[in-house]
Amino acid sequence: MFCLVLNKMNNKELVFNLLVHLSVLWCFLSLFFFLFVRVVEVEKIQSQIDNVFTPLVSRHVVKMAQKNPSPVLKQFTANFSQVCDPYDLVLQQELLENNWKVLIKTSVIGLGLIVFTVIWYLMFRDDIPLLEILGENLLVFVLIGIFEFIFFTKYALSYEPVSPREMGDLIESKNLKL
Amino acid sequence: MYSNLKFEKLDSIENTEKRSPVAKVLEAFMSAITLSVFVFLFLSIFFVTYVSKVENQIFRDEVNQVLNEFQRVTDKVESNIPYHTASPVSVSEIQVSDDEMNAWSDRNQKIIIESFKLVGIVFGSMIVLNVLIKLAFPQYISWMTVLRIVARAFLYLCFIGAAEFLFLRVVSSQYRTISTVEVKQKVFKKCADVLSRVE
Repeated sequence: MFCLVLNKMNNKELVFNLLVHLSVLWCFLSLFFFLFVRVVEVEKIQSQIDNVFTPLVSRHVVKMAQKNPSPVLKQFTANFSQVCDPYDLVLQQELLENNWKVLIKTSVIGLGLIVFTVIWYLMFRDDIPLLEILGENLLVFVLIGIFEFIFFTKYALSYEPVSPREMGDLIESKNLKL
Repeated sequence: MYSNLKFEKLDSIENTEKRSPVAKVLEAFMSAITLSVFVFLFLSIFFVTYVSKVENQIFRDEVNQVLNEFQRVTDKVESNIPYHTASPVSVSEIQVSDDEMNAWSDRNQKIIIESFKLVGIVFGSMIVLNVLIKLAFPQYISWMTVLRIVARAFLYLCFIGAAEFLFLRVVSSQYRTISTVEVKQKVFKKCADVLSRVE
């Protein structure tokens, strides 16, 4: 029945509307991820590190420093907070390269969708009511934006995907020694 | 045969409707409401059933990288400090009780139930609003139009789902949000601060 209904529609308009929708959705998701989700994710991980891992290590370091009369451990720890390890540069470079690759992929897909949408419009512009479709999409994304904002701020941000036990298990599995 | 005739009849009503700008605006409005609610419904279910699991994996991977980096440094400590006998960092302090685990699980379950209540309210409102528009403007909106709006929203939803899935796989799970070097520096800075206070 749905197929029959869809067959009766103006396919060129339908595809254009779909392309506009996907292009806007991709841009919306990208902006949402890079401006909001990424920041929240960093905060969540950092807070887990600050609340669980850092106190654990600092307590251990203090214990070891008290046991060990040599001030080397203190110096070593102090140095590590100030001096940049040469391997850090490699890690930072890897992180940057990886994130650039992701950013480029995201942009390529987004631009590809936009270009394809424009080409489709130019090919069939006589059959496509541009303003109606843009207006409809604007309304769709305003509504989605409102719903998603409510959903994320009220629920998704409070959701904790990682159980408190998992962090402990992760640290335990590494068998850190100091 | 009968179904086709009925369809042709409905189709002719559709063509008449298409000429009216009021019908166009009403249809666009109904279409926008239906599609946005469908997308919202999809994203909510997608979040609870799939995104949360991917987020868990992303979180574990990121923390794992931090710990690997930390392990590399602690191995250095062992080999660089003379007369220092390294001992394993005790994790007994962070053993989480069953009560805490239950509380965590309850919190998440409550969030899921509350979020689905919101989804239900939004979905119900969309149906009521669409039916009210249809009943208030029968000369502009036929049941065929409603059916077409729903069918189109379903079709879009399939593509939106694919785009969401692609985004999650290509962008969200690949992008490394946290810098292990910065985290490590922060941990060591904190340790150095604590040690200086002990002294």
